Amino acid sequence: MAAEADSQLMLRVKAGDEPSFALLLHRFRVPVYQFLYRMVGSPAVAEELAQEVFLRVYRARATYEPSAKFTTWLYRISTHLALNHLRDSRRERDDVRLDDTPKDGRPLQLAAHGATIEERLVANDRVERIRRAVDELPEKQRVAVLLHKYQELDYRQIAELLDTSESAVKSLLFRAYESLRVKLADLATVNATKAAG
Amino acid sequence: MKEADVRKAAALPEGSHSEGAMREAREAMWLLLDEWKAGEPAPGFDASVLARIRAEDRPQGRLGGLVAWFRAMNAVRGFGLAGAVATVLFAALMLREPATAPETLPSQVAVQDLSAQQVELALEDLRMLDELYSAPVPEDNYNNKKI
Repeated sequence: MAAEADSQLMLRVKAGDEPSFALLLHRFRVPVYQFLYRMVGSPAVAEELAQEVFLRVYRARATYEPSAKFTTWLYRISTHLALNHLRDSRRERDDVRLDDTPKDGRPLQLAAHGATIEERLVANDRVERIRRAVDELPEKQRVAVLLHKYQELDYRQIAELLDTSESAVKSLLFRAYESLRVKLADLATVNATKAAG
Repeated sequence: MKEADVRKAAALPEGSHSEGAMREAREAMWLLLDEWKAGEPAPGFDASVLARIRAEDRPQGRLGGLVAWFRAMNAVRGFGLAGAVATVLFAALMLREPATAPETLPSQVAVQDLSAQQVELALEDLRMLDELYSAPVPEDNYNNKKI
């Protein structure tokens, strides 16, 4: 239902209705930014790319056809921009350290809010390991995991976005999650123990 | 729904592990991934995007209009490289400064030459007519002439 509404909004944008675009922008700015942040690893770059995604959506409004879900189209543009950026910059990503101040002055994305310094250090180390594990996946697997796990796209959407079959996506995700399970086995065990206790 | 998806995707028997233990490990990994938060864009994000869009929509003179038109055409499937090259060539022709006019136009020179020739021919014709009329006319011819 929500997807239909997105497509309807985009059709209104196509007809020249700017408020509908503002609504779409407001609806998708966070998920698009979060996807790009996880893809490129920098808040500033993610924000710049997210702006570019919405500019491209607006520029392409005349050619929009609601043949696929709006989110599929949106994440296709986002993925394309993120991969181009990564290829261009050869992953000149800053190695974020615990005592670093982010360039844009915003706080690090920590999992544990209101925790002690030690707990925050441990939490940040865990997040950093998760980020690296995902980052080390082959490109297609990484995109598939981010879209499936964090953006909640289904197999069909991911398949459409990656120009592949649903069964190929299932296989891709299986290999990716297995790889992550092995790499993060010790953290996951601690997690499970905590949850049990 | 999502967890069911991943269980289905990851449901593969492995020799050394029981199915139950594998499932637990995968679920633990799935929950672990939730720890990676991504935050939100800066508060002025929407305003910034909308400002950039309005700036693009604003007409920016002849060149700006051409760029905007090119962008719109570029978004159309099949416009392609040929269209882009044709557009750039057309823009170059349209934007080129007109050449400075020479002091004496070649066309004016041609008109002047043509007039002189015509005058000379006309004078030659008159001279021929004078000779014709001044020549003695035979009487028979004159008498037989019907007026």
